Amino acid sequence: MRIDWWTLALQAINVLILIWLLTRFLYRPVMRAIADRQAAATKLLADAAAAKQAATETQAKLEAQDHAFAAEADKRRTALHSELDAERATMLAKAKADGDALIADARKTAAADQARLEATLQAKAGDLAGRMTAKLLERLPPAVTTDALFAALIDLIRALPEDERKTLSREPLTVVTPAVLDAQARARYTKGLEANLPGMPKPHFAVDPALIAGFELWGPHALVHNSWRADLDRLLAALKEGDHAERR
Amino acid sequence: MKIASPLEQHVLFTLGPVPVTQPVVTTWAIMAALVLGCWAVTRRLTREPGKPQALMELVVDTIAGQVRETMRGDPDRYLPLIGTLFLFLLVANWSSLIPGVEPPTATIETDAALALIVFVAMIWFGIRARGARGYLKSFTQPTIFMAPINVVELFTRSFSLMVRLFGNVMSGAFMIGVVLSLAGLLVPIPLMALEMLTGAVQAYIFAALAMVFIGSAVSEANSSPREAST
Repeated sequence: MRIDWWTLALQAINVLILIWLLTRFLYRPVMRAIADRQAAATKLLADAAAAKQAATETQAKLEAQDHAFAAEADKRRTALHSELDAERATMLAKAKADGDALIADARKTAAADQARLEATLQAKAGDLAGRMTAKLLERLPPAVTTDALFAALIDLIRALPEDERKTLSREPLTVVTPAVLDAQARARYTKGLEANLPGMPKPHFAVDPALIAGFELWGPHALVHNSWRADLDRLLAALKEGDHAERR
Repeated sequence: MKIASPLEQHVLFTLGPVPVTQPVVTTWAIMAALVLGCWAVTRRLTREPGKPQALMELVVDTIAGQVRETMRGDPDRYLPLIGTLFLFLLVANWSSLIPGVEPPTATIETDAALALIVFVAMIWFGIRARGARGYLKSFTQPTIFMAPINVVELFTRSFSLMVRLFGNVMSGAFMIGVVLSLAGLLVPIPLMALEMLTGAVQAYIFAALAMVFIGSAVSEANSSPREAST
């Protein structure tokens, strides 16, 4: 066995040169490329982490803003509800007051209408009663009722106080009757009046069919009612007063 | 058919007093192929690599990872030596698949040159890591009585590298030559496939043992790097 030392030396040199060449053309460029890529990846990861951090912070900020908005919305909603409740209460109170006023007006109007209706009915009832009474009186001789009612007028005059009777005797009186009296009846009744009202001027006679029956003395300052019309009016007034008392 | 002795070198030409043999020329061709291939790929490296660049990065990164795991240190310092040893041995061993080409690693001179480089590297890196005094002191570990054995071990490690590589590659190439001379063209193909596997394994073993030996030379305490099984 023989070793070629020249070959051994050349091969050693060859391998050393190859180490240098591959270091220049393989290891350094490739390791630099790997390092660059790792640096780029690291930078990318760092950028991604930073972007993620920024996104997280933005998300937290937006969530805080959202919570603030929600709280503000709740606050405004509560305030709005309070305002609405107050406004509703005010409106309800106003509506109740308006309703009460309307009801009171309606009641007042109804009472007025009822009163007017009652008055109308009473008037009609009075008129009806008058006409019924007149119809009934047509069945009696006029002299009978006239004389009886004149006697009642005389009783009424006699029942007056002395002062009023004197006042009445000084005034020019008008004797009102429901029908025209003949001259004889006028003279008889004038005589009866002068007997109870001494010194009185000569009375005038007038006709008012509304009296139905009886006499009335009309003077400038005094009136003496003694007719059925006046009696019916008094009765209706008494009935009305009784109704009002019952309603109260 | 006469089979040439693997221990005899055929001088192709001479450069002055220097005889240039077949393994040297083959080594130049391998060097040219490796350098041109690497230059072609690495002259335009991009951040988004194509397949050749990705393959190159995979190879370099894998070797760097092996160096990092085995030597427990920065791989940049040892990567050129270990990587070049592995790549050169791989391509040199596989060069036997080319008809008419005898792998340079099948000659004792080439393997001796590689073992000599590893031998020098062990001492060089050991002194750089520990200093001359510390490196010499490492031979007295664990006791001074072990110094002769440790010195002998320093030589026998490199010698074993040389002999292992030479024996495996030379025997494979020799066997293929014998079978080829006996059985024609197709019969050696399975043996050639086996030779590919053997060549790759031998390249890995040589590089791994170089890492282990250099690593043990630079290691501070008794925490020797992981031994690679052969």
